[in-house]
Amino acid sequence: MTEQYPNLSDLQSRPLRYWNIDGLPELMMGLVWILWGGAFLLGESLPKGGAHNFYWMLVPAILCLSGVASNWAVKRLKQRITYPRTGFVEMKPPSRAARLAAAAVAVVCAMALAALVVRARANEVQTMISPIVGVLVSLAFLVASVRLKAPHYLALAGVSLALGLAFGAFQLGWESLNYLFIALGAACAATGALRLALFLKRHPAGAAE
Amino acid sequence: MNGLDRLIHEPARLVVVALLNSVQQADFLWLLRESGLSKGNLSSHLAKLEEGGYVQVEKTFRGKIPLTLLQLTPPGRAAFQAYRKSMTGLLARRGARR
Repeated sequence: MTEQYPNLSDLQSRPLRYWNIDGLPELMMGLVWILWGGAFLLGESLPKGGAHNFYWMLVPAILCLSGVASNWAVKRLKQRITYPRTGFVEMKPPSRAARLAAAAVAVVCAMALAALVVRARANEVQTMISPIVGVLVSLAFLVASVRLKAPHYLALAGVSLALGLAFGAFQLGWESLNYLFIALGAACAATGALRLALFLKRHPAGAAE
Repeated sequence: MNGLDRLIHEPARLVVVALLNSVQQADFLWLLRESGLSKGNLSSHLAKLEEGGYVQVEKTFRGKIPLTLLQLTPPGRAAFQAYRKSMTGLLARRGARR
């Protein structure tokens, strides 16, 4: 009986894996990171003055809205591209415990970064910020790779780590973080675009019920 | 074994129920793909689960294309949780006896 018994844990994780089947989430995440890095780079290149101040007033809103907009765009694109080809799924809303855990992780990360910025000397922070962000993003990809059984996230974890260390070595200060986000975003968007192309090739339009 | 829900215990139906339990709702195409069952087989299992009150089937349209939306009912979710609990206990007892 045990041989025939389906792996329930594997079945329970299928929707999460299905969400990543088409590369769209990575593609949009990559574009958002490019936008973040680009927004800061553009702001730093603007001459001081009214336009500069106005631009920096807009940046926080742009950053916040980009997350919401990318989420909305992924859902809309899935409705047009993914669901007609491989089926529609509406995810379960996260449980209260899961929301609290996510909030706790976010608070701990924010406090750790704040402590680093406050306690360490400005020069040290500027030198270490890219490697630290590279390691954090790499760890996030590593966890995603294991949870989603997605080996390509392992490659992205390696790329994140390598880019973080490389931009740290260039000693560009805070600017290196902008370049890091642009490079990470480009890698992520390229992987997503490639996976989307493969998905479209494997599942041509017209696969309906 | 007598305490197990026979409607869920059948392997193909267990796959269907476990998949539907992991989502809010899904369409027939996704379930067909993920379960690996044939269309006829899946339809007959869904009919049995609907008859038992475990699955709610909603027939609608996406544009001009028919769309069958499937959702586990609250009794269906409760039955799956109870089944999983009793099955885990059963397997643990078997493991302890070896």
